[in-house]
Amino acid sequence: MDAMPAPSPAPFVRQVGAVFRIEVSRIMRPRHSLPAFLLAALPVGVAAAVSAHVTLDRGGAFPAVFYNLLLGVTVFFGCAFIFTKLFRAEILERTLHYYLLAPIRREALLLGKYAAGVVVSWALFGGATVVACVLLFGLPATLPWEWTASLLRDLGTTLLACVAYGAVFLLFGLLFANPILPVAGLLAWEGLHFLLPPTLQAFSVRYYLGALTSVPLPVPDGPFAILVRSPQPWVSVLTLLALTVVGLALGAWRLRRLEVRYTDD
Amino acid sequence: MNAEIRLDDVSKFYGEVMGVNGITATLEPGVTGLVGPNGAGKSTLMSLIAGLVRPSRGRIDVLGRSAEHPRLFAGDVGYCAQYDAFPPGISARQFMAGSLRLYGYTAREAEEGATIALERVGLGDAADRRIDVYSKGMRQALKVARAIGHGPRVLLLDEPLNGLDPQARAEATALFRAFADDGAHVLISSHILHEVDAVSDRVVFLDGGYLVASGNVAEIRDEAPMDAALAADAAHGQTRPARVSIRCDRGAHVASRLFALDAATEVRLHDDGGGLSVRTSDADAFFLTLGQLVCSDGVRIEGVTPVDASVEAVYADLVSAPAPER
Repeated sequence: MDAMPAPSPAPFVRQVGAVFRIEVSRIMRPRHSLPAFLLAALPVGVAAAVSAHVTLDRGGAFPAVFYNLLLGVTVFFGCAFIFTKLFRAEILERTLHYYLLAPIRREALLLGKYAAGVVVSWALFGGATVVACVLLFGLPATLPWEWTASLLRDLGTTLLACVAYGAVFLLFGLLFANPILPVAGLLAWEGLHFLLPPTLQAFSVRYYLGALTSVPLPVPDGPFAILVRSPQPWVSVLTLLALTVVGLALGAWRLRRLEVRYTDD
Repeated sequence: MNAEIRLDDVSKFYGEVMGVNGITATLEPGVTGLVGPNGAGKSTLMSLIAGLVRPSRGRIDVLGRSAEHPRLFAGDVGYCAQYDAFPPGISARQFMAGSLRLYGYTAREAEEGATIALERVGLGDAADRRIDVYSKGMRQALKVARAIGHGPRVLLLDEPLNGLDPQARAEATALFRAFADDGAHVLISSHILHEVDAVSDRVVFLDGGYLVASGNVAEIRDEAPMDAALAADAAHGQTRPARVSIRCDRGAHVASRLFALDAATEVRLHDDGGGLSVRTSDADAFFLTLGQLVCSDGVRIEGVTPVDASVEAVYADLVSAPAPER
């Protein structure tokens, strides 16, 4: 009974697909991603509490729930949890060599893992977006175009947040043995970006995400807040996609040079 | 296609720490034992050949290919690493099938290949159990299955016999032998030296990151430096010295008679009282004397084993010899 001879190497897309399938099932395991599941439930719970409170302005609560809670907390920490673990967890578990021994390009490995992270995070946090919208605005008997367009726009914003944060956190997981510190640094930067001078505010993911929400965000009214004009939506989309490409390119560069020597990782 | 593994002046440094240095060797198909103490550089050399780390200096060709091109290289190489680690929460079949998909097999082929590989290492009945509940021996067998699943022509096995019970070890060594007999390269590192000895066609001795010797065990033994006492005997015109283990009754009597007849330079009685180990400066004269003892003194001998034909003895000679000029 002999092993089957190895077929000729799979094309790049099939390599990405093979990695993607393995990674989706890995990320979806509750033991692996329980904190991300809990984070997805957080805005849903808050939206449910707001909708149950008859005196609150549901429409006015949406920007806070969507922008501050869902994008600022759930997506940020959820993506940090999912994407930094894509490589770092395998290095800590000493299983990364199984991938590196396979006849796949490292770029395919990176893209397969990244795509799995994006799909799972968007499924979780996009689902949370939909449920939060329905809880706050109700589900009309017939879906009017305006309602549907707003929901699609917020889903798109959530997707872009997962895409951009995902690329950044994946890079953190490859570059740093302990990604918690850079994640904390980014959190501080993102959380305080409205205090930064206008030029520096442009170096923030939240600055661009804020321009994409379906409901205009309230103007920051803190004593130290610095008001800047929101970018055009197309500028936001292109900038976030550019950030993603840069993050993935740096990740691929790092992965190509990665040597498996777990003791020092 | 080139059928050799070539290492050309290969060195690997981790910062200021040396992994291996200046390794030059050509490995033919067959079973090659990789022998050396902890820190000798065995795992580093395996990782270099597998392409998991890059040499700081030198060049490695595996069947004429370089690890810089993993799509062509990795299909020929199977590696059983020393790390006892698997992705959590999945069964052996899922692990194997997922791995084989990475090699370009279709889903159906991967399932079939997983079944074949798992049955070859004796895990057919446990294929659908989660790896998390496997015993150490089963996990070791699964690593071997992962290494052989895609039918590689170069099999790199880092301590593959660890944790296996005697029967599993015998089956594993038979499996490695079968691979080699089919024309594959099988490179085995192990601390269980007598099992390396039993299965290997040749050995590579490493010590402190340097290649000390390589080739057939008997050839190395003949060329190996002797320890000082035996070297002195040899210098006085004696024939090649030898060490022999004798299992017999009346070991103390045999020892005294061997000394009286000047047939031994050193004797150590076995702790169980069932024999003795003898070092002699003239193997031919020693065996002649031993035969006379059996006839004249009625000593009952259960077995005589030349110790220094083994990997252990050659290895002991090599690492106790003065360090070569480096």
